[in-house]
Amino acid sequence: MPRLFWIAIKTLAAVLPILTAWGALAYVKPAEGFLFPDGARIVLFHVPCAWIACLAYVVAAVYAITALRRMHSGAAEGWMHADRGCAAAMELGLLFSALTTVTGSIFSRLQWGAFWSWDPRQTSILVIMFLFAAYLVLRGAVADRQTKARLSSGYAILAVVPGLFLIWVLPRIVPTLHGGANQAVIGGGLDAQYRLVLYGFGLPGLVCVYVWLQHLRMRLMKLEDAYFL
Amino acid sequence: MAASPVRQALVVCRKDLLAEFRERTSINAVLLFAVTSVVVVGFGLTGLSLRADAAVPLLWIVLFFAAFSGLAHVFTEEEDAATSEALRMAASPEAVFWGKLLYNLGLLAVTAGIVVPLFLGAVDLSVPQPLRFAAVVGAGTAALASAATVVGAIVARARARGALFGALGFPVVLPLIMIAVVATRRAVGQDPTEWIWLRDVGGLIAYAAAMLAASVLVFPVIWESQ
Repeated sequence: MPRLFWIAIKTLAAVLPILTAWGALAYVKPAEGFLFPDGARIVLFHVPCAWIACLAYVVAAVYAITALRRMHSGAAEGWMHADRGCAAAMELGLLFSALTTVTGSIFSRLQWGAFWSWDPRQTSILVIMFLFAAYLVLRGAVADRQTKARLSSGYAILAVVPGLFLIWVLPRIVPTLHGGANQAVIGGGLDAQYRLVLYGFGLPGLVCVYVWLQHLRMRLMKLEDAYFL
Repeated sequence: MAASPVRQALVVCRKDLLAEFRERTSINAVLLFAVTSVVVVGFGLTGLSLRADAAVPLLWIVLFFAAFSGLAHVFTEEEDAATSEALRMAASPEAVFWGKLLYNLGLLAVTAGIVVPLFLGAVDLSVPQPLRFAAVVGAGTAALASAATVVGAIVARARARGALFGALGFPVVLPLIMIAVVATRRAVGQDPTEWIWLRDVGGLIAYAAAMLAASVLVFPVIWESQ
């Protein structure tokens, strides 16, 4: 990767989250009509985390397909690189889906009165978290490096079916508390200030953090592979 | 081998059935496990009268655990008996998958055929529309077997299989359990003119079809030897 690209990513990954924190805590006004108006600020952290979890999911599936294709063509380093990408994306997916669940529960307590209410979106993020975790458990249960890559990539591709269903189908067919989030574009109900912080700082900032972490994790895994093989 | 893929799949299924008739390991284990869980549910509910819509999720929990107690057996048995290499040489991966799936469908159908009536008796749940109920439970069971088969193939090649099977299977089948619970609730409802259950059965079949499509894509890779 060109050096300039990484300098830009790292700078944005440092600056944008600070701007998000400033925006969430000082810039946006408390949301009117909310049970606990100041609680709405957490949305600016919660929504980007949920998006990054979904992004990690897509990245993992693409890497899994790449790993299997390269394995067929026989290039050893090629499939290992893709397999590491898939594993790193799954780990980060687990992290961000856990953050989504925690921030979501806090918001849910403030707004709807209970930490957990088995809303379809809550159930979806929980099950997606289980999918990430199951993938990592499976990796731990296979010793041979290539079998590990093959089985876990297979599982990652299988997981696309429930994943698509939970993210895009279920919340649309079952009544949900996440009214606004069910429109194709999130934040139909958000006012301009929230949208600015969310799309201007929150989402791009966390995307940069994610890209950086993914890159670091893959480098670390490459060292692990080199050490253990 | 010149036999057609369909014939190969039937031969694989027949081989597993024969092995099962000789040793009767998986059907006995799955049935006893399922019956035990029905007894535990019934025992836990002694003295309580449960509303129909509260009993339905319990039925699917029992069926879920029945499926995930034994459906990996067709693959773990090949690994344990060291016969998987011979099977790889004798049949194409597709034939192996469809053969094993057919066997698992049969196994779970027999289990459900025995466990569901027992469960209805144990929790005293009346079914005003038996055909509708049977269609929903049948579609749900078939979908469960379809999703469990490919996960079983993955688990057979890993360590700590028993716990792993449930852990890997749960997130994959949860969406279909959710549809099945809602559909079964509607199917035990009183209103005979309500046709929405047909859409639910369609949803279950669609989910099973999507899982099968992904399984057929992925299975050759999982099944391949080193």
